[in-house]
Amino acid sequence: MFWYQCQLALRAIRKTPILSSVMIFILATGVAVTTICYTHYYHLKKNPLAHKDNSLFLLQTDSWDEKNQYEGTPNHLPPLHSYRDSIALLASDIPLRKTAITKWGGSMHNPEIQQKAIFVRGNIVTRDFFSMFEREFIYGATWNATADQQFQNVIVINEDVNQKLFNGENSLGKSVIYENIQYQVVGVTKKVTHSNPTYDIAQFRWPQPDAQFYIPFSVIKAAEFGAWVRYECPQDLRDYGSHWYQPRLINSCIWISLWYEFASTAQKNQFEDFVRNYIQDQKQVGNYPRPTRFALSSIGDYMQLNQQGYDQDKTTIYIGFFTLLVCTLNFVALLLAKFMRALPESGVRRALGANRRVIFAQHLIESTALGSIAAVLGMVMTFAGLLYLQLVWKSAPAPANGLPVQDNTVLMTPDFYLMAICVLTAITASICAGLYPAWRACKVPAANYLKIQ
Amino acid sequence: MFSLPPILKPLLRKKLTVALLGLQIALITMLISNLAHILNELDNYYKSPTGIDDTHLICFTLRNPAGTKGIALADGLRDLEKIKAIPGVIDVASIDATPLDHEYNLRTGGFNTTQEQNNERIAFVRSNVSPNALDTLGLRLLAGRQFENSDMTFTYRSHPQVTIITQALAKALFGENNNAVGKVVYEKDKQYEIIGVMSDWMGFSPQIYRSESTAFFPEYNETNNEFRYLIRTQSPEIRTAVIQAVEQYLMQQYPQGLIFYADKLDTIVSKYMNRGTVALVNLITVILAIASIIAIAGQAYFSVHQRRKQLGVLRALGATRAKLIAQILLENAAIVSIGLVSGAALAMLLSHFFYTTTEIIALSPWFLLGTVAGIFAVCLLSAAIPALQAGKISPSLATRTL
Repeated sequence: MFWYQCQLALRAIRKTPILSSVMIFILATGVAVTTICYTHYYHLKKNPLAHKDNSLFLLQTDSWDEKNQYEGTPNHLPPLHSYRDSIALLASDIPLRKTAITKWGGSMHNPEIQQKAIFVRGNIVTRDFFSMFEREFIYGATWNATADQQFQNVIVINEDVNQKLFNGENSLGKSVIYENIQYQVVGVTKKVTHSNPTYDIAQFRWPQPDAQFYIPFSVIKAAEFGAWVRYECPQDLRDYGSHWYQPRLINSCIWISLWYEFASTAQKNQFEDFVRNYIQDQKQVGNYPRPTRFALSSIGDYMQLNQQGYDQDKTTIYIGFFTLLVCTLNFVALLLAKFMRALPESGVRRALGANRRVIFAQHLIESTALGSIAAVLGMVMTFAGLLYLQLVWKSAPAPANGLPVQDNTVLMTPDFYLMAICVLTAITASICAGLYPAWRACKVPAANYLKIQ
Repeated sequence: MFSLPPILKPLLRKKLTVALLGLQIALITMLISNLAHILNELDNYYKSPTGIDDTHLICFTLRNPAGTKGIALADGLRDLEKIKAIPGVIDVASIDATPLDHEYNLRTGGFNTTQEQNNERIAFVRSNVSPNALDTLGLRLLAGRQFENSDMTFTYRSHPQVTIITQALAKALFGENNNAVGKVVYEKDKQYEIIGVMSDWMGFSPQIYRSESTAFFPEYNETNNEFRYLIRTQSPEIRTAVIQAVEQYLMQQYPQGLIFYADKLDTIVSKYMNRGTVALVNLITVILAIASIIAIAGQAYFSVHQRRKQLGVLRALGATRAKLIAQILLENAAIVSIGLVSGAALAMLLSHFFYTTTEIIALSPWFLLGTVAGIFAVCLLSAAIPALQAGKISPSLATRTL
């Protein structure tokens, strides 16, 4: 029976080729625009480390001054820590893995060849960083545990830098000069192009380019460097002009994010006690003047918290939705015209014994068939649209300093989930659009049409 | 000749069709007028003059590795003199931020007009410059005087006493008609005398709020690792050759490890254009326009097409072709008008929503009128084609099949 209905639907579509193709085109357009508008929002919301939401956490503590609460985040907890607190909070052996992250950039060159130095930016991290944030190695591995305690001149570079300085060859054991200091390469990581900031969410709402190198956290005491992060101080200590380095190591200004990975909830609870005790202890010496408050947020939770940053971008989604609405309304109107034209046929079928439900189903199937074809066309149009947008995005000039910029074309990449949404939207829209016209069609009084025939 | 009742009556019988078409037209009007307006705004924004002579300017950056000494002013001046001697170079100035570059070196501050600092601070973007920066950038001095060499100060050693601010900042501080020159402004424990007001320009970071409120200070940082210079050239074309010559000179002057990069200022302008957004809005507008023309036209076409026989009968009953066509067009115009009026209201509503939630300014009535006129024309045209065809049916043919 179902097959017969499908045949009828196809026959009806073939009978009105122009009307049907207009309907298909309109619905496909609506679906394609909606999917394109949704794509970059979807990528911005995607959490590549969602599977670690139960184990990987960002620590925030309320280290701000007594009078003013911190205003930069929705939960009024500073997202970063001072060096003093970072060292103390990293000392705990409770978590499975732990890392501090801050950023640095400068010049790097290969001393063995004569070439212009390149400008790079990277992260200062602990050895656990790579497994916590799933960075894969092409050559070598992370540095040994002692390098985190006692500074050693070791460095992990990414594929990109390895290509520029060593022509992509295995560079393990070779040297690079970074900001006048010699480092030994112990690992080369694979380049990652995430559409989402992951470990950067503490500092940025938007996707950031991947780090080009990684240096052990112990470097902070060994070399004076200008951290490339938001540097904020409680009590308005802020002085943008100053580059004095030593005070940074003892004052309360924040510039380091702290991440922890736990094996179990018990471990996490235990660590929470540790943090609480640390804050209590610090109160004795005059730090942490505010009520004890801290938070361990997973990447997913923190993104949820920082939602406003993404919600500004909902404008395109509204536009997409309205476009779909217009197209669906048009589909309804044309479907109505199409079904009304075929009323005599339905009248004959009714007279020959088909009940209302069958007529209703037949028309709904016809509308869904149109929707399915529109889904396929919509998918093609979405692909083409996204491809076009990627091309336009790529044509932006690169910065003169040679630093990598975030590859925003990632935000316009179609994937399986998006295509599924595209198809589902088209079919749902076509079913919804078909309901009323099909109901009108099945209410046909058979006798009327028999008469005129 | 055409009374309205016979036109409106059939419409009342097809309430749903009319409502559907009206709603579609309303939504389309709302979307297209707003999208076109946003596109136009973006376009104006990117095409509007930067206020500086960006086609003749190069901004170049020297970066010494950390741990090495910075460039002393004497050495810096020697470099500047050597660079100034390169053919094609008119003027060179030191500046500590790249103009129009949204990515780096944004430093902000807040001025207060009274020492008590109890009223609201006026935010601005700051930059330390050498005395000839205004001329190099191509900014006009509207009042007061330029920096002189005696105004120059050095970070960590002395503090600037004077500042030159843009007209926009002067207005924000002292109101529309007050002369800012000679007034003193306060920033925390420091105070500055305003010695000059310069013409407005887009500022160091065009995408931030109040970027055009810029203040220049005569200060030079000898301990910094990063040095930025502006070069003004004779012609836009000569800039490539100048960049090469400068690079050659600096490579000789400084050992390996130093990074040098140069950007043409108009390249930076094209960099801050948010291509993604423009392309996306563009794409949506074009697709939507095509789809809605097909949708409206198709619907009008089919609805008239359906009634061809009816119209033939009318012809048989003595209606002239012209009268028939006019009847159809009037009927169509009636439906479309309902949609357009509600669409215009919706468009204003959406525009108001954008206006309150984003920085997009309110929809101009001209865009709305343009869209309305366009949609009206498309609707009438698409109804006219089948109406013309219907008019051609001979009355005998039309009545036969009934």
